[in-house]
Amino acid sequence: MEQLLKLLKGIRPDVDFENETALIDDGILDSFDVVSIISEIDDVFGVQIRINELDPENFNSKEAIWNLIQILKG
Amino acid sequence: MKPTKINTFERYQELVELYGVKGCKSNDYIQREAADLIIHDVLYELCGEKNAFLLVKKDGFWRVYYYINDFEEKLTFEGEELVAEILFRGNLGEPTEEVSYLESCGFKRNLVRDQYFAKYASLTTPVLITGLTVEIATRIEDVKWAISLFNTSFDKWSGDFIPIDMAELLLQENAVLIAKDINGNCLGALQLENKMGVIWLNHVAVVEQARGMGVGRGLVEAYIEQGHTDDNSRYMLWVQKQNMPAVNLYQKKGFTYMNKSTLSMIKL
Repeated sequence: MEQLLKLLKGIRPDVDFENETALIDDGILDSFDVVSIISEIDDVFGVQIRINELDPENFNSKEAIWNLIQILKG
Repeated sequence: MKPTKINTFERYQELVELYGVKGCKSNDYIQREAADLIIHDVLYELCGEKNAFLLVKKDGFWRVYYYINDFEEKLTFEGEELVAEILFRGNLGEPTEEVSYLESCGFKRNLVRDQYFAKYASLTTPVLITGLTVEIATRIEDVKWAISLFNTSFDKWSGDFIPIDMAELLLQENAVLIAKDINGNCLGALQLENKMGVIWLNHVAVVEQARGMGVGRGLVEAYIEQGHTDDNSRYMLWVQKQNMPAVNLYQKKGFTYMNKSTLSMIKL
């Protein structure tokens, strides 16, 4: 999780990823951020996220993103 | 080469799978919005062996989203105006490979814009501009005047063009602020939008003869107050990097650069 937090902070240092739970719903992250996060997750965790996994609920918090990574890692 | 219409979301997904391979260069931020574009018959594809353009039909031009895997394979589409927006992180610099590729396909650099953000609590105290009144437009004529001012102040390729038939909607949404002098003459206008709790400054323009007189600042102050609910109210905007008076205004007001920029490239 620390690695993910570092990755997210690298992309958007202004966002409070430790506490935000509506990153997409509140418009804090836009599609450019999401694409950047997907690309970095692929590089760091070796996990490819497909379009059909781009549900807002998968990106609303660092926990949700972490859970998605774990599911995709199988 | 001629573009062909994408008729199903599955086809869009297929293209992403096919061309969006690891290491490819892409500005495809369409993603789930593709479904809407397909329903409205405006999403097209132009595919080579290794590279692909996704094209969104706009009013008088096409917006280009690319997947580049081979910098030697050129995609061409003659006879139409094309615009590609390349988003990039400011600290990483401009994406030179993509710029070079698009230049080799006939595109030219247009504008660089930077994204700025502020929370209300971090903004400086409002300043009253003497002799200037800024109010929400309540007459359709004023909204139409504002749209005309925006459309003549910005180029049409970078998402700034507002169709005149949007006037009624903007009026209903209280989305336009008009600055007037003491005689009631319109000096400038600003369009704002509440998108998921973030108050966006979409357009601001001042008539040529009133520039440098604080009209822009007065409009921005009114925009901030219009969107203010508490100290956590959030504001976002894009500004042309070269527009130093505007950049200085936002920075002095307390807006900070989001490390996010976009370079638009056009092919006429």
